[in-house]
Amino acid sequence: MKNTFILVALVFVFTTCSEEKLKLYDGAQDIYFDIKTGTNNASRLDSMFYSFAASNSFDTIINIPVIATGNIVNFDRYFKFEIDTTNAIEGLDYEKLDDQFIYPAGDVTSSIPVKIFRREEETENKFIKFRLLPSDDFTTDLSTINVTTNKTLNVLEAKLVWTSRLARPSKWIVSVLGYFSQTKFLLVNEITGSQPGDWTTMVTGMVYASGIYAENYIYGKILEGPEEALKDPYNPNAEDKGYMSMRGRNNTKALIPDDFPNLLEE
Amino acid sequence: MRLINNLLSMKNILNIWIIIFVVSLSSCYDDKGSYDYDWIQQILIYGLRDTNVARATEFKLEPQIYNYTLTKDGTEFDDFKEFNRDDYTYRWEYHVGTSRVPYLISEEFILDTIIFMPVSSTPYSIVFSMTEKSTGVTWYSRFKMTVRDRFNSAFMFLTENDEGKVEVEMYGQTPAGNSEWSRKVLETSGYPYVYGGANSILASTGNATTNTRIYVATGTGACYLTKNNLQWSDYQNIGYLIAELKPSNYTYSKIYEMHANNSAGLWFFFTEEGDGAFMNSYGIIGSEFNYLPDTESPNGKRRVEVAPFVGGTTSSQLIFNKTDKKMMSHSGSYTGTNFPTLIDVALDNRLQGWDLLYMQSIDNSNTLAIMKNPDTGKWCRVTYNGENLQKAAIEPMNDPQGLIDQASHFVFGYRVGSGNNVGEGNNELYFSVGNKLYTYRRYGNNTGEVVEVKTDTNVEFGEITCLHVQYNIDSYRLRIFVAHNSTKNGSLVHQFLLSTEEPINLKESNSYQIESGKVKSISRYQ
Repeated sequence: MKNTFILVALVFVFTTCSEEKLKLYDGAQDIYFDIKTGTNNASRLDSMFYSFAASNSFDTIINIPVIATGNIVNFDRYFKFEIDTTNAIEGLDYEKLDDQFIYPAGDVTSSIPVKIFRREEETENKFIKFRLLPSDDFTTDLSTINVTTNKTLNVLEAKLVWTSRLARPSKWIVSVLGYFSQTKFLLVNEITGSQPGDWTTMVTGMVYASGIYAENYIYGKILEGPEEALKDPYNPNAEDKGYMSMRGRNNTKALIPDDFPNLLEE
Repeated sequence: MRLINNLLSMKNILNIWIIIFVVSLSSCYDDKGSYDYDWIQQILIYGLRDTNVARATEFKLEPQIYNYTLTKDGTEFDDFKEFNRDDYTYRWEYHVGTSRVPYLISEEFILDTIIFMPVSSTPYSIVFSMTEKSTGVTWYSRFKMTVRDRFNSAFMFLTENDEGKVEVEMYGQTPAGNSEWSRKVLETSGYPYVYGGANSILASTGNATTNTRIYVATGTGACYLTKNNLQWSDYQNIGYLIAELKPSNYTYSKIYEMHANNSAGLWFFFTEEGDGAFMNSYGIIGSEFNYLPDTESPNGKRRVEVAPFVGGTTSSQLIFNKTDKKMMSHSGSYTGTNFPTLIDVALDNRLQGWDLLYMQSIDNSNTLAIMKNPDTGKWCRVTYNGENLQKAAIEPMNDPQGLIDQASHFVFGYRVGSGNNVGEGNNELYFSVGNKLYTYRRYGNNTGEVVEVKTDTNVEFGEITCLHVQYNIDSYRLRIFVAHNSTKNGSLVHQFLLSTEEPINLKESNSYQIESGKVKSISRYQ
């Protein structure tokens, strides 16, 4: 009896002390995807595409932009989303994502940063379709936007598509540059100052010059011994034992000596 | 326990209800919000604005911090507090473009750093964050930074010290119009082959493939530095650029670039041993061109030595064959992997049997050379016409003291747009003997004479270590650079203009105090 009385009294006291939360803004705080190629609604898109073929890296972060209606506020907010559908494998094709991201205080926009990985052996395009969800800080009532007179766009959904395919570009002449691999492609671009996108229109003189430069550099490294020789895990020629060579180039000297260890067996 | 039992005795129950009632009333008191609201403490970071900085320059930035609380409705400043730096930790990070991957720059409150990120037209995102140690709460501010070339244009001085260590010093114009030094360019580039003396430097201004390069040749190696960030990587050793792979210590004694209308360029490389090579517009250096067809030689080719000079135009060049003592032509396709070879010029233009002392192409037009006539034993000033490489004039030089024989550095003065006019320093020979600067004076003097140059500031030259002529600084003005070195004044470079139409009268327009040693080669990039 006594204990029950104490309990009832304490509950009564503490519930009467609850504090009303200070509300700073009561207007609509809708969040939606903001993928645009220009400044007007007609340039809005529902997807983003990325190709590693035009990149010198093995991973990258794609920021999928979101924007909120309402005033800019001076405190951090959070927005939520879910993966609707995907054919990508978490941890292999992309880095695990949190289920919510920060919309920083004072910022007009935010984004979902998606770290994606290149997998050379993967020939299929990968995609993730995201859907924004309501959170404590944002609603998702603004679902469609008129992009043109007769066309609307669901701005609560966005699709990220990427490809790891690094096909031999049309100007990569095997008799000049040897076999093609992504490791070698990146090296040749680095030493010549070329960009991956240059290889569809490169003039023949530059292709031949790149071949000489690559031959010299790769051969020079081979001459320095197995420690210094360049490695190429994507070299399709087993006889190169995991090293980079110019195999396929006419009259190349840049081949792997017999006494080099076989990296493929290690 | 006893106390509780007493309190809870029935006679006290009424009193307890009275206490609870009073407490309950007070908890319903209308809170006017006059508390010190720690939970709406705010940090305001000012002073971080989008900016444009030059690479390799010092960048200092002190954020302004305001520590305050908000009024009860959260809309106005209420109370500014003292900001204590020791209460926070700091991070300055940069992101490439829109990437979320951060790279740490500093963990100090005041950013004081050398801008090291590569030059990029895409701005970097710089994020400043400060975290309160007691609460772990972090505040952020960000701005964009565009990193550009430090200099719009710069003179580059290749030097060597008494131990033969090579360095590059730059004196350039910043986009803001200031003139600044960058002293230890070669050391900070990472290039390892910096001994053996200074040979040649060339800031290429040619086409898109090669205009990003600064070629440097020391006594122990040659490489190129990237213009954007003045850095070296091992694949930038010159040996890798040569059609036939050369070792990393392969080097050249002289490097030249020829221009056509100050745009497309040609590049020539000469070794101390008398080899010459040509670099095409894709940045690849062909095999030595100083091998002539010879059916009697084992491999069908005979090696000859060539002089380390190039004349002619970008269409066809003059190269002097020292072995056979004759002028030859270097012409043909400059693209792809086809590299020109040396061929004979017309018999009358070869000057077979003559010696060559110095040769210089004048503004992609005529060529001037100092050659010795074997019949008279006299040095002659020889002029070749531009396109057809025809010998246009031979003028025996009047030098009774034999100073030309003693000279160690030569340069012909020339001005853009002045053609082949004599006078005003154009096409006049300047040369040095020890610490004396001379010119071969032809202006108003039909016979010509060697005369010591006068300077308006009475420059007292030390040992002259390099002469250089620059034509593309501004319009139509002759500029001659004289580098000299003495115990008294150290290493100095003077820039001269003509003070009158007399080529013997030079007016000092600038001077540069060099710190790292004697200047052996000068180039300019823009």
